[in-house]
Amino acid sequence: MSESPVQLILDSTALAAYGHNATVGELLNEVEDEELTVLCSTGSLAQALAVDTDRALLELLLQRDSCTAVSPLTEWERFADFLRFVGPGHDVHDAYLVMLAFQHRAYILTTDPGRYRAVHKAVWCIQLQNPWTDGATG
Amino acid sequence: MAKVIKSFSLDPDVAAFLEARGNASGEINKLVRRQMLSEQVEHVAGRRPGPGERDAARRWARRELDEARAHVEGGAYDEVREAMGWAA
Repeated sequence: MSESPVQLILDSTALAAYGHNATVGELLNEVEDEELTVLCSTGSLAQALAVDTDRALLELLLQRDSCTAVSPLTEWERFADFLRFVGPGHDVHDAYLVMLAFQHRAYILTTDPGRYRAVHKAVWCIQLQNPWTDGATG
Repeated sequence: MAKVIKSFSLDPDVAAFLEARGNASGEINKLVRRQMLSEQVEHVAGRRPGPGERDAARRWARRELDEARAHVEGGAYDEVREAMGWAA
């Protein structure tokens, strides 16, 4: 993993929006300007690909200086501790992203913050906005 | 044959920014690389945001990141991190 601190985690909905929603690229630019890191779980990449996200866009995303792919398989014992902490009944991969957020003091970019707050209410999510049209003031 | 290396000039404010960062050539490489990737993304996606959309997205991104940072630095994650043994 990159040595620089992690600031942002992209879930599958954020990955699917890359290239189609200017907000994703601008968030990445802001993170890169501060020389921080963005994490993409291999599970989220698989979820995005499974719903027909363009593979070429995912590959271009992973070429960005800020982006690093991570896998729950490489830290399964730590993940087991976290699953025990949050209790049963959660989507396992959603819980993994929440663990990453707490572990790295980072935030999850998603269209659906509720699914992550259901794992733990304290996790901070940035909810993706629809693209603006030219001339919008934002 | 001698190798020709092209040079270029920068606006004073851009030059000042790069000098302040300490590694001008590294910064230029990063910016050029980011721009090239961005153009490839626009080509693959078949969508190029206009300047208005880009500016609005940039302002939104900065606002969201600042709000998130204030939330986390305000201690929102401390209880979980302490419980997991991740607190500094």
